[in-house]
Amino acid sequence: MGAPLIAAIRGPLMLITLGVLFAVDQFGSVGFESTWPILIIVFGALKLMERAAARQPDAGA
Amino acid sequence: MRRGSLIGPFLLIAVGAVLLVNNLRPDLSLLEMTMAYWPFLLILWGGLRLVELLIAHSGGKPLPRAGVSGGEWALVILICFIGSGANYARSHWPHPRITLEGLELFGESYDFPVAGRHEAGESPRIFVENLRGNARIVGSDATGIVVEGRTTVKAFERADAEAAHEKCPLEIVRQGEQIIIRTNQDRLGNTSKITTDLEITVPKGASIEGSGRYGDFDVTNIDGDVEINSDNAGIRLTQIGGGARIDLRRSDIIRIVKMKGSADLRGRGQDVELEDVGGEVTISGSYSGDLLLRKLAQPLRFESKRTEFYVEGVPGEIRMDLGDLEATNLVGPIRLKTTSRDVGFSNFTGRLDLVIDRGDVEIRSGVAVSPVSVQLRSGDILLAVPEAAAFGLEAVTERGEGINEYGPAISVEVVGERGARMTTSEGAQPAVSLKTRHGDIIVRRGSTSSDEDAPRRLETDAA
Amino acid sequence: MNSDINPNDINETQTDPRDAATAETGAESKPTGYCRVCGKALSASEAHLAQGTIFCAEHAPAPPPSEQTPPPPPNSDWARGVTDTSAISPGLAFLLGLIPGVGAIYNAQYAKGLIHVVIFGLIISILSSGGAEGLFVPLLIGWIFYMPFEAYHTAKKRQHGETVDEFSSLIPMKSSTSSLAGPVILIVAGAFFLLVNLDLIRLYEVVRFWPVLLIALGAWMLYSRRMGGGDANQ
Repeated sequence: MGAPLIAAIRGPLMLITLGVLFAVDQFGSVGFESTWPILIIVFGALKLMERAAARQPDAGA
Repeated sequence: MRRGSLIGPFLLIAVGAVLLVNNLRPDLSLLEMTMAYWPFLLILWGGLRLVELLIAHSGGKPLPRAGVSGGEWALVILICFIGSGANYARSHWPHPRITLEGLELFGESYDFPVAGRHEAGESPRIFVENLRGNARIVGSDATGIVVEGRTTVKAFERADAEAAHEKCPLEIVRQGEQIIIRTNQDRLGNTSKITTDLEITVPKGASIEGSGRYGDFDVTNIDGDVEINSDNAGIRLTQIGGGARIDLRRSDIIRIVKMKGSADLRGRGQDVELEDVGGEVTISGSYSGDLLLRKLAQPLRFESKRTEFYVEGVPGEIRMDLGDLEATNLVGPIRLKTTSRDVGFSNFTGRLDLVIDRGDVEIRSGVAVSPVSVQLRSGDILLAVPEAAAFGLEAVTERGEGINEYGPAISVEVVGERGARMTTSEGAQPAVSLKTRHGDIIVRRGSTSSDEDAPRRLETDAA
Repeated sequence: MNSDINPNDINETQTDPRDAATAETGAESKPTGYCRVCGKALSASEAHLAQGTIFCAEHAPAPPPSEQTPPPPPNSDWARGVTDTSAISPGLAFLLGLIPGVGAIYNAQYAKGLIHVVIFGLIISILSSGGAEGLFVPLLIGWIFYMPFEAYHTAKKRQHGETVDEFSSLIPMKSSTSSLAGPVILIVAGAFFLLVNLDLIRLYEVVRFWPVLLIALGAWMLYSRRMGGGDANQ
């Protein structure tokens, strides 16, 4: 997976995560005020993958 | 031509369509569903955008720099706020109407009066079942039950509203020992578009049981007991001869004034106000607002996720919210165990036991000092005692200062590298033990003002 | 050497291909950089900027399509090029930036403005509901200073005709460095806050270890200077 692709899908994935956290807040047992750090974790993880991919570019990237 | 996502504009159209359909056909209650399931909208948006990007990528088209554009994020944040606010609004949905020159923006509403009567004995047991809407119940000297009210129906046309109203008539029936007043809103299937507000006059000797989903309950001047179960209600009880049992999933205010019996509050809510309660008071659950408890003749037990509080009697007042507790004029024993709170106790008799994780503690005593034990992990302790008082002090801080503003009766010594210990003469009574692991301990001279008579338990009124 | 390049400038190609034609016949310019692959000294006209570092013509990788566009790049979703750069006043941006969010709005970065307001509101609400004042008051002050400076900085860049991203900030956020430290820090911080929120960690137990962050920062700086600064300045 090339780095620019990961950078581009970061937005939608964060959006999905946000939606999931709010859905859990509505219908599940843990409120958003507790789960919001997951957003930071997801952002960091995607950034990490992006930089790792940039370091070792795939053949033909 | 600017590349952009198709999803954003598509969602905007979808939202507009939903609102439009809701106006034209309010019976489908699309808006209610949206307000419940909106997070899935975000998930759907993200998912579709993801798919869009992956398709673009595999097709070799250039990728946009950011998967979700700035304007789209602004829209997302707005949706999150509205969505979270919608949760709150959902509970009050029957009541606020958004109007424009008399036209309702979210569907038309039609009002119908309702009325009913029923005979009843002197002390009937009355059960009020009203899913949506407020109920006001007043005890009177007349016999018999009189119900007056208004039903509001949201519909496309008046004919539909009338049909709905006829499907849910007001019913007053006797069932065994009870007389049931029900609005039958559940016959409509989807109950969100019908609301009934009721004014019920009952014989003074009645006992009331109320059940609902959204809507306040006001009960005044009843000799019997009151029991309310609701998903979301404001409760106001005045002049009740019996006791009260309140179980709410959500509430904005529970107010009980002049009740002879005991009060049992459970569930979740915001503000609580109890004044002049003759029986025991038990509050369990979580209350995020202000609690004001005054003139409680019998023991108070408060239990929440992080607090346990017991007071033998409250002739004075306790004010409490999530971060503070101020209590004046209490009868002990008093036991408080909480995680993080600033607390202040003034003028109490009986033993005071505090176990607090974090917070500042202030204890002000009159001339007659009661035994006190404070265990604090992090925070300062302030003790104010009049000059003439007799007490035996043992105050230790593991990390902090001992500050003696009281006088020569107290000696301060440094303990270890950073601790301090303050004591009076050996063996003096009563014992006042103050311990904090991290904080200062200050002892100073309090005042002996004349209205600091030792509190006594309130006597319950003779009937 | 890599640190000399402002990662925020990755939007624009520093050497416009058109310049190369005119500059080639001109005097030899001083080397502005060295090729990352072969180390050859490159003048401004020979240097090819890609992926955040400089390459010689031979070794320059094919830039990803989003970077291949001549300025202003129409591929970015929100190209913020402004036609009339004289209408941009960084001073005004600074003043407006004192009001939460307005600075970013002045620079037409709407989502960022909203986020600025939200963060401001969050800090205020944490403070008013009794949060640790020793932590949040400096944070608030820092944030109130950050917003106008950031608005000023962004307005200045726009004034020079550079296009700016929606979420530009004074803190370099691009993946120009291949360092994994930033994202790892984010993940660790996020996990830490999550554990605190779920009551698995008591805040006070861990917060006293905060000087470890300073130590770690110093160590990382040492490490990156030894590694990164090595091959460039020979």
